[in-house]
Amino acid sequence: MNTRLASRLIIGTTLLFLIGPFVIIILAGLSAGDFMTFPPNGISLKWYLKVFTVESFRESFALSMFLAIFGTITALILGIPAAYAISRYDIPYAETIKTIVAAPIIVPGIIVGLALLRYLVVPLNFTVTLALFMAHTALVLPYAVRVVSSSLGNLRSDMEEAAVLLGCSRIGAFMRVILPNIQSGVLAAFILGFVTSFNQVPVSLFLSGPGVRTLPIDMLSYMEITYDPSVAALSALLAFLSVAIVFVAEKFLGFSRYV
Amino acid sequence: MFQNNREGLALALPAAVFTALLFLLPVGILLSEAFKVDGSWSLQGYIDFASKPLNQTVFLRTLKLGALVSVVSAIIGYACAFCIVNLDGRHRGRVFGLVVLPLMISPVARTYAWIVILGRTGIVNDTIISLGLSKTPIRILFTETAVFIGLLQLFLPLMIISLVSAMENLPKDVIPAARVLGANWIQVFTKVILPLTKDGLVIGGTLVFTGSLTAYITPAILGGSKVLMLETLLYQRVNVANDFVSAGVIATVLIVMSFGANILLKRIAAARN
Amino acid sequence: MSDSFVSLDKLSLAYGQSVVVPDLGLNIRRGELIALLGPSGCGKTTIMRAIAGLMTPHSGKISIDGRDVTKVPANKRGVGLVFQSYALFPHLTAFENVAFGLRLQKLPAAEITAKVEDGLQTVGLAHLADRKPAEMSGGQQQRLSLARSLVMEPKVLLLDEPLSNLDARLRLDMRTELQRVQRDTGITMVFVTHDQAEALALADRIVLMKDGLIEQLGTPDELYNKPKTKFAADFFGFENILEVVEQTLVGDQGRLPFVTAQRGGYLAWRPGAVSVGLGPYRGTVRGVAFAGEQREYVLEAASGQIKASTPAADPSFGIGDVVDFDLPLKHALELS
Repeated sequence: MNTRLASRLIIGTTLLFLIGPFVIIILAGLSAGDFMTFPPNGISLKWYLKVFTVESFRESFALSMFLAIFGTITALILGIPAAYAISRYDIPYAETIKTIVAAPIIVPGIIVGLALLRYLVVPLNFTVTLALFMAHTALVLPYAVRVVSSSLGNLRSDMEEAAVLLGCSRIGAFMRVILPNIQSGVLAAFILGFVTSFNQVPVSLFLSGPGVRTLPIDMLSYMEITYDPSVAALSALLAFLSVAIVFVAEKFLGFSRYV
Repeated sequence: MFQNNREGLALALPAAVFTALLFLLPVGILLSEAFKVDGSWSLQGYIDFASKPLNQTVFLRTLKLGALVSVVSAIIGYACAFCIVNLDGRHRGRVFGLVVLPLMISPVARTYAWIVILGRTGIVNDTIISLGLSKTPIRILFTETAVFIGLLQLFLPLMIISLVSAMENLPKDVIPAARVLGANWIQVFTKVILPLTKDGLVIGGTLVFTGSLTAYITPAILGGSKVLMLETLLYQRVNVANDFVSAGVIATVLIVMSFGANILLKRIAAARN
Repeated sequence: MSDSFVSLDKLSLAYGQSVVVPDLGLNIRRGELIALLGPSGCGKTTIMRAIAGLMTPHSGKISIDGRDVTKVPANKRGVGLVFQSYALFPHLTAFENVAFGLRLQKLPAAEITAKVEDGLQTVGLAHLADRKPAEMSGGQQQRLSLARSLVMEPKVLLLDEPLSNLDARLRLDMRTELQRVQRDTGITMVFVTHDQAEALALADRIVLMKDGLIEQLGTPDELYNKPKTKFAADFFGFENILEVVEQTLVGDQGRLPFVTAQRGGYLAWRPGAVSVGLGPYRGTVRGVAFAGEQREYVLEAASGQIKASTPAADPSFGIGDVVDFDLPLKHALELS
């Protein structure tokens, strides 16, 4: 059927354009030679292995993980009550609060990094790491609020009322009735936040210093100096990591419901 | 049970205060730098900035690429969305997942691949030379074309997602109805699909346009200092010349353009009605 | 066939690998109102879409008014289709919805306006010309959808479950409307339905379908009074169908003795044909329902369930009562 063929062609070419480059990167990282070429001359895992030995990569990976995990957790600690308040109550200034919390998405990251550097790190003596932490938390917060709100939206409020009538305190009702039911939403928010934070670059551009660099920034500076396939290998590994996380999330949570 | 609004406010405030104090405030101060010269309010910073030809070039180039990426991604996006929406359930889920997948991967990784493909010894050049279309490798990297390609790959999924969502919400049978009434496929698109999915187009367009305007990594890696965009220019000005006024100006311009794009697109969508 | 206006010849329709209609031959006469009737999944909607050109046949031929349209795309067939969901364009007013097809033909504006106003007038929606579909009731939306198709003066008008979404009163109105339109314009109409009452009321001929095959084709009278197969009989209200095996009637759960010259096959009774209170058989009343003019019973007998209905004025029985009943041969329908 003509239309089916055309349809396959369109989708196929687009997917090739979107995903082809990854395949290339994965293969380029397998190159046995010393330079980035494609197709690779010879297959070798040496560059993939080398990635783990570069010390700065290890440090920056640790920092990125720290920011992603704890930044997201903090964002959830701030965001869950906020999402609850916005969806259940009729609070004054609701629109303003929603706009404030959502604003970080609109501000270009590089400006954020620069602003925090200039006004928090330098004058107030915040450590760079702390500034990074706050920036990442603020960046993840809108996603956390949105996903949890969506999850809360699917729950009717009669559940809590029923719990209270059966003798629960308000907090008790929240812990016993709401939390268990938004579990997968929270988990989905966590994963989304994690990935967003981990892959974040512009914010961290100015907020780096000796020994304090997020992994993407580290990769960028490495790329400026060396042109060997280890960056390709690292990119491929990171891609796998992100994909694996999301894949697992989809399998166990039906992730797409909340985003 | 939810009448105690004070309680609600108390729950929501920490998040809002956190963001306002530690995020928006510093950014606000930075933006205000653009309006100050020697401690007093003035637009001189803008005037100085705008008068330099380099800045003008960068500004126009950023706008141009942003618009181009938006338009091209809209065209490809509609084609893809239409095909995806007509697939059956299983395939649709898989294809959609593959489209969304790149969004989860670091932009550094996504952009880096293009170096391998577009470089002097990259795939494209290898093919061109072996096909005899040119004797020497063509320079694709560090040109506007390279940045365009990188940005397109980065943001196309956003447009596709937005359009698929819009097309899934088309009223049932509206397309076959138009066909039976005599419309050819172009007419079906312009008279039925486009008007009914224009909200999705606006959302997708805004995301793609503002994303392209405020991109850093892709222009940095694929354009370098030969093809400066507003954000790479900002970085350069601060790092090299400690020029915070320029930084403030660029920052304000970027934020204004993002908002402006959003409002403009919404107006266009409403006007077409 | 010279008589045939729409002719389907050895038509085979499939979705991917699964064949929905294996081999269909059907001739629809000019100006007739024909119903494609059957349970869901029988292929009736698929056939309708194939006639409209929204689906390409796997093999076979479709002709309309002597012209082979099998390969002609949907927008060039001159067929009208009123969708079950109405498929109105939400962003256009009623007027513009009806004008849609006419505008595509690039007719002069004055002519379009005249035709649209006329079309809206015909279905009684002239006063709503500037409204959007969302601002109209279900019945109005359907009439709008009808007007939109009629105004194109199609050779064949297809209707997908035209009465299913409507409440009882609207259904009657719409039925009358459709018949009136058909009389006035003489358009050949094909409608698809799962409701035998609809088909009986509207159609000149009925095509009863099962699993992609024509079970029986005939006038409403023929199908209602002389269904030829067990499936057809069951579909048209013969709720008691028992197999004839030697001198017994066999049901789901047992047999009843019966004297008949018939060898094999089935005998079927409408509930009204079963006499309750008098007869050689015995059953227990398991359900009673008062239905206005009739009282409906569900009896449990040796053969299984028997559905009976008696005039409401007759003596009534309650649940648990043991009653006599009869299956009179003279009211039975013979089926092979």
